[in-house]
Amino acid sequence: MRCALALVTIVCAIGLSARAEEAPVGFIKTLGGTATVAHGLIATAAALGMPLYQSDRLDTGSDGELGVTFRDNTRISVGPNSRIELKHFVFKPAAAEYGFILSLAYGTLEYISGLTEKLAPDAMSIETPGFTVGARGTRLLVRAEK
Amino acid sequence: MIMRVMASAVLLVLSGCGLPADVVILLPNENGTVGKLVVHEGGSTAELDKPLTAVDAGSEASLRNVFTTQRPDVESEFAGALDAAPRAPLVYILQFQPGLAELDPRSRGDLAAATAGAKGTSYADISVIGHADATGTDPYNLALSLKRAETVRDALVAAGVPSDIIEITYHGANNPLIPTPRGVPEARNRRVEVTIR
Repeated sequence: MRCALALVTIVCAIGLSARAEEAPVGFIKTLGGTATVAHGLIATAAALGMPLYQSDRLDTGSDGELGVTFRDNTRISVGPNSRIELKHFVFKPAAAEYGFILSLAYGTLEYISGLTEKLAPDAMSIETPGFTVGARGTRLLVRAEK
Repeated sequence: MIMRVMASAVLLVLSGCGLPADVVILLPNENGTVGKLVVHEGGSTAELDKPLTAVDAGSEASLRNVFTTQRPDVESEFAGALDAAPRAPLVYILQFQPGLAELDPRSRGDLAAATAGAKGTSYADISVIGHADATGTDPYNLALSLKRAETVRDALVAAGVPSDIIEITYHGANNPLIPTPRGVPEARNRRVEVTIR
């Protein structure tokens, strides 16, 4: 029992320290109505200026909308009744490492290209349950039915 | 007459339908240029390269249905997402004196503009990236590019920009704006890039 508790403590500590060192991938820049951000199992109300991390999930209510600017200058925004996951994000120009995968489960999304797409066009894609979109220096809209 | 009634009925039905439930639309960029996009579904792909064209992504077969959208349909069905789009990041490039972490006097105006941009942006996050040209050794250039970035960070902070929203990185001579052989001085590469998101 004691062992198990110690193990839990260690696992928690590792989890926390990984979190603390992890850099945000972007920040919430616009917000309207109801929207939540899920970090793992914890969901909180979205707020302007809130940092977002890889694997975070964003949900908007029937009156919700929000916009995010990523560290590579890519911008996205979602309309009401939408769910999107920041599935994969790597932006390390000094090491030439890039990756950017968004997953739109359902709802509406606007995407405006940033530096990842410019520097590594194949690193960027938007996935939905039915189809996948790759962009080349553009602005686009996607809607995926629930 | 009957034909006309039928024709308007068809039109009415078409406009009432609006856009497909699963759809991808290519928009022109804010600067007027147009990029392109590819939609993959099963083993099929559809490519769009003209502004306001769209594809019905409902099924692999429907990918063949490439059409031109009407602006009012797009604006009403994507109203929330379009309304929430963040504004474009502001980017400033400040030049430095050779071998020094001192601003080139010609870049003073741009530093003032960057400072105003930073203070005028709510919920800003700012990146300050230092660079050097290809004169000097790699360790020297890395250290110099860091000092240049710190000079700009300090100027922003002195003007009242909170330091915790500024992220500093430095690349030495590894990311030149204008590629040159080693040892060649190039004013445009002696720079700090400030991005205000």
